[in-house]
Amino acid sequence: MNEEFLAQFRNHIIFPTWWQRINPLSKFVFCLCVGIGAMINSVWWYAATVFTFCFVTLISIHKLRNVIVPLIVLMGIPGIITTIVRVVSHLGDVGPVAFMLFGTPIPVTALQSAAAYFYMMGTFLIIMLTYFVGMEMRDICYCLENQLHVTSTFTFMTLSAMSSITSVIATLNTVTESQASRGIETQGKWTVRLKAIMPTLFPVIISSLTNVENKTLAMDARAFAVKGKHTSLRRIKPPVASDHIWSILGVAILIAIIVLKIMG
Amino acid sequence: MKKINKLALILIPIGVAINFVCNLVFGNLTGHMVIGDSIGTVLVAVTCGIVPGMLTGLLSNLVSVAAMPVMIFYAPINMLYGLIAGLLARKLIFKSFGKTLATAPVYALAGGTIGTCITYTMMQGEFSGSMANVLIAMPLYAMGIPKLMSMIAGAVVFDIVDKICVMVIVLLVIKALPDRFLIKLPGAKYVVKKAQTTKSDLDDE
Repeated sequence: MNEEFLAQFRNHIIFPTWWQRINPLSKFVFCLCVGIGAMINSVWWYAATVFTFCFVTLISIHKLRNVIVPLIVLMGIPGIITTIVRVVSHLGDVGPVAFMLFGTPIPVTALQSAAAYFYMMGTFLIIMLTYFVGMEMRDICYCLENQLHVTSTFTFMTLSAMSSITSVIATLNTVTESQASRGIETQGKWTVRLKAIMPTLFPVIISSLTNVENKTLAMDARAFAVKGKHTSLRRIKPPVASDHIWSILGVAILIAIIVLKIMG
Repeated sequence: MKKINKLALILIPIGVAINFVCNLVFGNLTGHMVIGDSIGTVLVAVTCGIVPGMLTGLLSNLVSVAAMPVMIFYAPINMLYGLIAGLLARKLIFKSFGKTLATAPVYALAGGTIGTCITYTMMQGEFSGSMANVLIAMPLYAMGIPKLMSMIAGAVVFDIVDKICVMVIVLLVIKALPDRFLIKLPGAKYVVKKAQTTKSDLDDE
């Protein structure tokens, strides 16, 4: 058991799924290029291809639910409002009418504009959310440090920011409960909650800032300022040829999309 | 690059967390009319300097990408807030309540213009579903004002409200922080009043 435990720090991490096993940076290049491609050329066939790829990937790694729920949240109400806004802004367009709604002609261009939004935003969101499935920020930071030679200070700040968010939210919950027990109304109408912002948010911000000194001492005690290469608890396998293929594929797709757009 | 002070190094992640939490609290409460996601950026820029402020802005958007991928495109705006706040702090703006509030339109104009240009490009010249577009930009567009200009006008008006709230909170936080903490930060001379510093020093002694 101890040998197994120690081996996980000595050897490269073995991820359980094929999607996680792709180098994080190569995968990021692929996903970002595909996502930007959707923004440049928002057409149905491109959106359908990317959605199919993401669905197949997510089903194969059993994470479909982890992406679909956030996608619905992100695209739900904002998507509906944007669709209405786009349709309304195109109401006066001259051209063929798609259908009549309560006596108002809805032009084809209005529907095309609304559909383009879904192709564009939906595709970008699903590919980026698929990227982050099963991905830990520390793995991305590790790759940034080892492959792109980003400074350890920057990766420390990124990871520290992630952990700070969790701790500040925990503090916010504690302070909210404490203030509620002191008689400050923190629930109810929005005006009531607005009044409670200052008594809850202020102690959180002030305590987060003043705790910084303790953290600095802790960092000094752990020799943070010492020069030299920093070690890491997790080791990610360096990129191999198959990883580079993903990056090249992503860039090729983006170039093809740009060329298609220019050629009309 | 100039070495970042160790306290500033820790304050940057805290600034990111403050941005995230304030966005969560204000966004939910006001229906994203007040966003509040630049409170930490301005706070760090004022107390630690321009570079830490801009880094806070950049990291705030980068760590939000996992939950809201489009935030990656808006990172320059938050960095710009850090830059403006750092520059204004050097002019001793944050020592006066009135002057601080008066700078809110500067942030709003810069952020609103660049943010709208990013959205306009992303949306391929179409309206998005934001409240600024629905309540201000679309009526202006219907009155014959060009689409981009009406979108910028809407964003700037909404940003002014947001930035006034941000400035008030930042100023109150700075006033609430003890001087003995503030003087350890690189930007102390821009926020701590000399008379107060002397008095607290004497008290400490």
